[in-house]
Amino acid sequence: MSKSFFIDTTKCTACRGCQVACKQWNQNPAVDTHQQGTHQNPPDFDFHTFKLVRFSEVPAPEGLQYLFFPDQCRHCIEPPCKFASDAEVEGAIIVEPDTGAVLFTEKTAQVEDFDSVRFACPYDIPRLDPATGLMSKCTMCIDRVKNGLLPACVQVCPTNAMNFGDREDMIKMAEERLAEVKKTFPDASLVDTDEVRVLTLITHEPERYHEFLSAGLRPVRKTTRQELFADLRKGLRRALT
Amino acid sequence: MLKIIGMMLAVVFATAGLACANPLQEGGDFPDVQLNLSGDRAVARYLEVPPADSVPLSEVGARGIIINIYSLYCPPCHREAPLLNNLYRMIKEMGLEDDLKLIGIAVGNNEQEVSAYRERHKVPFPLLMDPDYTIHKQVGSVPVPSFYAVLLQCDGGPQVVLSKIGEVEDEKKFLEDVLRAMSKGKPLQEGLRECRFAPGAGRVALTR
Repeated sequence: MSKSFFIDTTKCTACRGCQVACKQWNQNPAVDTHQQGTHQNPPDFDFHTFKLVRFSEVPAPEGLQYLFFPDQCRHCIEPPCKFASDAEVEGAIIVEPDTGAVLFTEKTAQVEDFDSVRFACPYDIPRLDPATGLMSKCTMCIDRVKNGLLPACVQVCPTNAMNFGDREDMIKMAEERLAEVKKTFPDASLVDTDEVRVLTLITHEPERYHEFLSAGLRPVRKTTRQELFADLRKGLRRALT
Repeated sequence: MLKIIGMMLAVVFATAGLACANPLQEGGDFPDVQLNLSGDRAVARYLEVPPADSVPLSEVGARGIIINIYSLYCPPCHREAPLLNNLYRMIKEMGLEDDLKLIGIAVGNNEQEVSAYRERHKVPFPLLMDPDYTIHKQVGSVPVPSFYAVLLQCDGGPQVVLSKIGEVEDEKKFLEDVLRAMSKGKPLQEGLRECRFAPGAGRVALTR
């Protein structure tokens, strides 16, 4: 059964339990970080950080406002990262047929052009381990889900901001919650619902939370002439082998 | 934000040997804390008090009360939630609901956070807010979860008869310990039902 997350940012209090649970389940080590002048920590995704609560402090008429956004891979229904990596190594990124989870395999280490994968992602999710060449991101806790458990981040979320289940149920839950939230926040919306498996409810413009919250926010990357010829050479090599 | 940091610190202290906690002693006084009812009529009915925003603990219409000091942001507090629901059911099934009450005090949590915990675990007993840690400070800044069994004495203020730092792992044994401490060696019903709060008259002895 096709699965989806529903992230209700109106219920997120930025406790970061999801971040910790993600690290724990995936046995990812802590990373060395430094104070950036914000409670957001670590400052961004990295090879060992698949889940990150982004903190945004924005001025508002009623005073300074905190916007919290638990960020992660959106498990796109048609994942551009997969299309980008398939151009080089077929099967480096796969879509698990039952759940729709987008998964990075060990073959990602064979993909030489990591940037083409990272920049293909409208949400800037993929990260690279320079030592091994492997790529990483949220796995939808596929091992847990396949065994009837919730993803670790959802299991631990104390405020019910993180939800997970069959896609139809999550869409219904998201739409019902949106209707309720709109009474208080008329500009509330669901982000990119038809394209992704992580439905996100926000109350303000997406760019206020994070520059890559919505697919429409990432500028289209301009291809240089050098990159164009490199792509052509790569395609030619693949055709000849 | 501050309350989240505060709660994280409380959890850290819980695991670091109760660094800042100063639990109230068994046999000593328990402060007559103001319970935050938020005008909830169902809660007022359960506690046998008039509907109000807040009420002093000493006016609760029972002989004893088990107080669970907890927080939404405390993993053991989630782990023990089904056991506490069962504890509530056991008190009811033993016919002790009028004599012994069970409440949760959600330290540092606001209304939304209290609701999230209640909905997630379908908690049947009252969970009361303590958003600014007022009660938490009064009861010794104990780590979460902690428990106090408080006897509402017939002559004198509330008294701690049992305190427990840490989660309940065996609710049946915990209830036995509480009842033993509450009845002070007397037969259970007799020990529990000696007096009750009467508006305007304070605690009055019950005649049998």
